[in-house]
This record gives sequence, structure tokens and C-alpha cells, in this order.
Amino acid sequence: KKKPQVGSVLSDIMDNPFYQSLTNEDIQVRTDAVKGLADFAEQIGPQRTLDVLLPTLSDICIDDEDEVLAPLAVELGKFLPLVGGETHIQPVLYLLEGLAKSEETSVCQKAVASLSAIGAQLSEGVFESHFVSLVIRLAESEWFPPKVSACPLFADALKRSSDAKKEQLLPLYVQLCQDETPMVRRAAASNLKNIFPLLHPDVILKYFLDVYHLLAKDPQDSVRFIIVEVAASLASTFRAHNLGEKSLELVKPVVLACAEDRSWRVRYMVASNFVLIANGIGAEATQSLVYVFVNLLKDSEAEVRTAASGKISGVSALLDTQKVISSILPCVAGLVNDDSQQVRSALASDVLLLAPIFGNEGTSQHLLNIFLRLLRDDVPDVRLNIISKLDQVTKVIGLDKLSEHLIPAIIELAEDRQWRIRLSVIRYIPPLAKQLNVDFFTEKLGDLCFGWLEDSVSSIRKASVENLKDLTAVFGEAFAVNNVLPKIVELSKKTNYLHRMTVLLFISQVSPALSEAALNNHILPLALTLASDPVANIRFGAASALETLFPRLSAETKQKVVRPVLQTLNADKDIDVRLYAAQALKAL
Amino acid sequence: IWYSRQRAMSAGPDEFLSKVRGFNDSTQQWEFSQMFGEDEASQDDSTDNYISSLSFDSTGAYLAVGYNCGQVVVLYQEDEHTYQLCCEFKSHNSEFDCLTSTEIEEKINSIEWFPFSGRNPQLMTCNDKTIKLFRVTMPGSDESGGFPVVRPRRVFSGGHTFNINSLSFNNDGETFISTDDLSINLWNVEISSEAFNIVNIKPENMETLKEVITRSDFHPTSCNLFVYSTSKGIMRTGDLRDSSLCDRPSQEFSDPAGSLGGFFEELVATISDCKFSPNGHFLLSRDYLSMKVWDLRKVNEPVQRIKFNEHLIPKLCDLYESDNIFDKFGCCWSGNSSQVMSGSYNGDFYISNAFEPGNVTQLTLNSRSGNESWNQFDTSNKALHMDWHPKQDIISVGAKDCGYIYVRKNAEDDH
Repeated sequence: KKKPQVGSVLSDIMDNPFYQSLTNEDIQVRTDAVKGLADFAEQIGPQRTLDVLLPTLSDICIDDEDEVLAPLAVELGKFLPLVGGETHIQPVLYLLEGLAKSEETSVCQKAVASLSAIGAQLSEGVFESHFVSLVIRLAESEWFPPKVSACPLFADALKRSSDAKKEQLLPLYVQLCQDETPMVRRAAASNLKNIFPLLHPDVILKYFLDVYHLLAKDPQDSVRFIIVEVAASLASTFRAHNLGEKSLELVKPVVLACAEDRSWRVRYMVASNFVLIANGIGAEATQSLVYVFVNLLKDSEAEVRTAASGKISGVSALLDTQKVISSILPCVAGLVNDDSQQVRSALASDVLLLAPIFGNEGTSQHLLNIFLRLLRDDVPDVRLNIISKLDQVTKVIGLDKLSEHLIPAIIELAEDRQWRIRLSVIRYIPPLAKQLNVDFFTEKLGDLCFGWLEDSVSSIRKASVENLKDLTAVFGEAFAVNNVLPKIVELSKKTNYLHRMTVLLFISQVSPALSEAALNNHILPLALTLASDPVANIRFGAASALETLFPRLSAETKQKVVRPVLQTLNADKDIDVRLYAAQALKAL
Repeated sequence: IWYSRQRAMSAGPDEFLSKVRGFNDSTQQWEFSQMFGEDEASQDDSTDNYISSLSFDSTGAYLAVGYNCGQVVVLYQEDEHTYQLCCEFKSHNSEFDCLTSTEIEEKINSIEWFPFSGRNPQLMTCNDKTIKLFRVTMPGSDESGGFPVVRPRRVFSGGHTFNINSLSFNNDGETFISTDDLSINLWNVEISSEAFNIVNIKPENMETLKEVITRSDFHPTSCNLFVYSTSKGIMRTGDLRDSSLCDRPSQEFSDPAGSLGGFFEELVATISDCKFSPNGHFLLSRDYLSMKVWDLRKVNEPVQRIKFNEHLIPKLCDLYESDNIFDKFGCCWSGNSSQVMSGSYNGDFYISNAFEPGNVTQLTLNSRSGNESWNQFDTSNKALHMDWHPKQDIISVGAKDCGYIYVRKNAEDDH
């Protein structure tokens, strides 16, 4: 640890307020300061960074709080150019190595990311002498946190290693996979998917075959369920080397064992990774494993069925349609009536994606009833999930067959007691509108859209204004002028001031989408009327709304029509009105 | 709170030798080794300095002691028989719950050490409502004279409507459970914003409430098994592998044959503590009058009933009137799963071979002044909290505001 020389030109750093804030008593000050470290280092230059800054950071790393150390780790990742290149990178790596040993995961993870970023930029010689040896030191530590940090770094080390070096590194990693603490085994297992693609299958078999089977039988549930992803990664690596048969030989027993594991969490992992596994072993092999997927759809644990339901379309895409109809669809029919609403909800999100696979006839014949049944589900969430994916179906069979059921379903959800459900429905209106013609839409759903403007919940009112803006984009100005504006004018005359507030919101949000003619003929008069509203909030809201219109109004209009109104408001008895009016006048 | 030490040498060793009353076992030689707590007895009746929980870590090198006032003291093992003060910190402060207009006490109900020892050990504490994880940062080896610093790492709040009675870490190093009167939550150590509810015995109609959960414990080696005990004298095991909600227990342990009968039957049957044996094959339960050892393969009766509180039976009426019948005594196993220990009134505590009948050693905590009043029955001196070093024959007992450490001198085999 070098101390800066007293009386040298380096001493001006010690007086620098930013530098001093790094050791301020207040943790918030230190945390904020640390986030600007890279900029500071750039300003003071490499020499002073090495001589003054890094020693101070070293002290901080030894005993400061995690809240400071995590952003510090992030900043250190940017220091390669700031210390003048890789010849001087050693002290930075040393600090990051220390942070990678922390018990606090957020600090470790940031340190590991920074090490990885720096490592990628090092030349081969420095990489081997500094980075790889660092990884080895972490992996050989007696405590578990450094070993956990070492795991993701092995992929970086192996990527750039010669075969000889790999022979040195891989046995270490195998040891980590068999560590006595589950935390290390989990980290080692979950990083295998980053390591396998870097190795030749022969190398994988030589080092990892035993450990792979050991992990699949690990007594810790949390280790076993990582093995599913590992199996998928193994499969795709082997297939990439045209060793499909060997891949199946390795992966199938593990997948089968996990699909029947006593722990529902392991089975869940098989379900949620099924598409990944299927892609790894190929379509032909997947055909033979369909029964495994079907069993997961019928699993006793609802969480597993939920995960599997979400993958139905993904799996079906890999099979031929006949197989889907004979094996999977009967299950789906059962799941539509499942006791658990999570299962039905997941099903609703996914099942519509089967439509493109089945095509027009197939969808009408096999899927339509399922969609309609879910559209009538008791639980709003399920119905919403159907509505949100409807475009998948309408692309295939058109909207007509659905609309007779769809419109009532939407209206029912739009009037649900829970405002968050009403909010979700509003969000689906514009995409739906794109598929309907304007008359049909206005006739069926117009009242709904305008009704929301007067909803008791303000978030709904706000969303409804945005909805009208989006609808204007879909249907064009004519729709806005003919259908929307009359309603808005009506709203501006209501006695409840909240409705008039909504009008102001409309003015500022929707006006940018309208033509100047519409602005001058319809919007401007509205704003001006509201400027003389009895309620002060409306008056100053009108002032701000007028201000938003300025870029689109002609100079003449602004001076002759708007200015007088604003000047009246500037003399208003209410202080806030005067404030906003003055602001608007200034902008004029 | 500062900590003091009294060596056995200050009084004749004979005075502190184990006292055997009515049972024969001379191979056990437990000796008083140390005492820690306030030097002077507190003048007022304040129970603030009373010990409320006590726990060795997985190596036995550290001993954590929690107090009614929310303070936690950590001791470390300096040599074979001596514990020194490592650090001390205020874990919880009392809070006022605005919704129910009640005070949430700062009393530490449970302390559990993170099962994997790192360079900087971690421990978890809880009061009635909030769980906190702390890290004890040891001074660096390259620095001379540093002090251990205790840092709060996580706060797990909002998980419980009722009062938390126990915490237990899973041996996966990732999850733990917290238990209140009616439910058990599963947490991930890294995530304080979410918990999974895995057991919920709250009835639809609270008027029909008949049973509450008293303690829970994770199995030491099987990451999927846990046990919880209830006020009905029953223990139920749950298997996390079976389903996401463990309302249907895997096994139910009860001892109808061992019931007392009579008016106080239900009150004395309630289990105040339950623990898996370190080897994972057995369960220990503590009800008001006895300890029971259970084989996990046998649910309808315990393999051993260790009755050391029979002398309380004639006094049950008085104990009921004074509310002492509701006292919650802890219990624990020795590190080699062969012996069990629990405390009682009068500063008495009992150590027994778990499987051999009639093999109980009774010891009495020496009071500060060195007097032992044999004739008085002191219900205020309750040896409620205790723990056994996981690797050595060292035990720690907490009663009132004093903690005691006893060491066994003869290294006799117990099996």
C-alpha cells in the first residue's frame, strides 16, 4: 500500500472535495461518491489514480459497508484504461479479487462482472498470468464465497485457454461440482451450461461424465433441479457436433429421472425447460418423450401443471399435428376445467399460440371450443389472458367467429369491480381496434371507451384518455372529430370538476395527434372556456394546457386570442392560477 | 450488558460437582465453568436483562445469547473451556404497531446461526414480528487490533400476523423457515420481499381455534423435511417435496398412552420445544412434565419418556394459578445424538441418556451468591434456554439474566 508523498504535487488530490467524500462519515455521501469514481480517475490521470486513489480504495474495500462496495465493484470494472493499460492492472485485479470473496452476493456478483469485463480486454500473456491465476486462487480458497465467485469466471478462463491449460483448469472445476457446501455445488452446476459449449464432447465426457450423474442424484433438491438445464445444454452441445445419438443417451435418463423426481420443484424444472430440452435433443427424440410432457400436464402439483401449460405451444411446434391432436389436446381439454386458477391462467396465455400451428380448419375444429370455454371462465385473469393473445387467432380464422362471444366478454371485464382489471382491458382496446373496422368498433365498444372517461378511479380516467389517443392513431382524425370530440365537449360541461380535469388531460395528451384545423376549431375554444372555470384548479390547468398548444398555434392566434385570456388569469385572485398564467405568458 | 467470568477455582470443586438425586450415573461429571451476565443483580424488578434465547453455531466456536431488551451478545471459544466476549449489538428495537395499537417487544425469541461457517459468521434473530440477518465481520488477519463488526444484512418483515416463535435454517444454505402461532413461512436468504407460506392451520372461523404451533425445526441433513409441534402435544413432519403447500403432514407423532389425564392434561401436554437429533434419526420433544425421544419410524409412541418433573405434579394447581404452567422450556441434544437436556424450576436442569431408562443427571445452576436454597421452590429461577456444543461436551444454560457454561470432564463413551 503506497502512501502519497507529503508535499508533492499529489497532495492536491487530498484536498479535492470528491476525494474527501469517499471517506465521509455519512454512508449516503460515500455511496454517491463511489458511483462517480471512474470519471474522477479519468480526470486525475493514471499516475495519480495508481498512487493516490487505489490505496484509498483499498482501505475502503477492507471495511466499508456492502452498499458502498457494490457500486465500487462496478466502477473498478472500468479502470483498465484509467490506470494506463494492462501493465498497471494488477492492483485493480487485486481489489476485485478481494471483493469477489465477500459474503454479500450483490458485491460478489458485481466484482465478478467487472473481472469478466476487464479479462476480456487483456492480452494473452497478461490474461494467463493475472486473470487465470486469480480464478485458480478463488477456486482453491478454503471458504465458500470465493469458490462461488470462481464458477462464472471459469467460462472466461476456459474460453481463451489452450488445451493444455484446460487440462489444468477442468479438474479444479470438477472439484467445485463436488464441493461439500451446496452453495458451491449450485454455482458450479448452474455455470456448466456456459462451459459445455466451449469444450469438445470428448473433453466433456472425459471430465464431466461422472460428476454429471452425481449431480443428478445430489441429495440437495436445489442442486438436482439445476441439472435439468445442464442436461439441455449438454444435449445442444453434442448435437452441434453431430453426436445426436450420444446426446440422447446422456440426456434421456436424466430427464426421465427428473420428470419423476419426488420433489415437485425438480419436476417443475423439467416442465418449464421442456422446450429447451426438446430443442437440444431434436424433433425426432422429442416425439418419443411426448408421454413425459403429458404426464407433467397431469402432475399432482398445480405448480408443475402451470409450468407445463405454459409450454404447450412451444412443444407442439416441434411435433407433427396428428401427434398433438392425439396426445396433447385431450389433456388441454382437461386443463380447461382444472381446479387451480393459475393453471387455467397459464393455459389461457399459451393455448392461443396453437392456432397458427393448426391453421384455419384445424383451429376451428379443435381449438375454438377451448378458447370460448376459457373466455367464459370465472376468474378475470384467465379471460384477460385470452383477450390479450386474440390476434394470434384472428390472424388465422378472422374475428367473425369470435366477436359474438368476445364483445360481451370484454364488456363484462370492463365493468369489473376491481379497477386493475378494468385497467388491463383498456390496454387491449387499441390492438383490438386495429382488427375491427371503425363503425363496428364504435357501435360495440364506443360507449365503453367514453364511459371510462368518467370512471371513479383516476388511473382509469388517465388510461382512457391515452386509449383515445391510440384510437385516433388507428382510426384517423375523422374518428376523433366525429365521435370523440362531441363527447369531450359534453364532458366539459359536467358539474363534477374531475370530469373537466379529464378534459384538460385530453387536451394536452391528444392534441399532438390532431391537425391544426381541429386544434383551432375544437380544442382551442374548449381550453379557453375552461380558463374561466369557477374552480381554480381548472383555471390553472387550462393555462398549462394552453401552453402545450403554443407550438401548433399561429402567432396571430396566440397574440390576439390567447394572450388576453392569459392576462386575465395573471390577475386572478388565486395565487397558483397567477403562477401558471405567468409561466405561460413567459413562454409566449 | 457486560460480561463477567467466574472460574470454578473460586470455590471448591466439590461444591460444583454434579448432583444426582435418586438416579444412578456416576460417569457424568459436569462441572461449572463460567458464568456471564451483569455483575450486580439489578435493583428493580426489570426483566430487561433476562436471557430469551441461546444458540451455538455449527462449529461450537461461537455462542449467541439474546435478551429481553433486544440485545444480542456473541461469545467465542477461546480455549477448550473458556468463552470470551466477541461482540455485542442491539438486534431489535421495540416498535408500536399502529394498526392494532400494541407494542411490539424487542425481546429476541430465537437466534439461529447460518449453517455454513465462512470467515465471517452470519446469524439470524427475530422478535415477535421481524427477522433480521446479521454478519459478524472478523478483523482481517493482516491487521492487528481490529474489532469484530456486526452488520445487518437483511430484514425480513411483514411475513407474520401472529408472534414468531422459532426460526430454522435449511441445510441447503439458501432457505429458512419462520414460524408463528398459526403458520410457517419459507424464505430465501437473499430475498426479503417475498416468502412462501407452506403451513397454515388457521381455521376459517377463529372462534373454533383449538391448536397453535409452538416450535418448528428443519431436518439437519434432509433438505426437504421439517417438523412442527403444537399445543395439543402433537408433532407433525412436512415434506417440501410433496407439494407447494404442506398442510397435509407426512407424519403425525402423538403419545396418547403417555397422557396425564385429569384437569391439567391438555395444559401439560403442550409441547414447548422440539428438535431433530443431529444424526437425523430421532426427535426430541419437551412437554411440561417430561422429555420424550421419538424414532422417526414410529409415530404412535415415543421410544423413551424421560420424566424428571414428576415432583411438579402435586403442585400443578399452584403452578396454574401463578401462570407458571405456561412456561416454555427449551430442550436440546448432545452433538453425538446420544444425550438430551432440558431445564426446570429452581435453577435445575437435567441431562439424560436418550435411550437408557433411569439414567438422568440433575444439576443446579449455582446462583450468584453461591447459595442454594434446597427447601425453597423457586419458580422464578427457570432454566428456560439452553444449547449443547455440537462437537464437544460443553453446554450453556440461561436462566433469568445469567448465562452458565458447564463442561464435562470425563470423556466417557455414552453409546
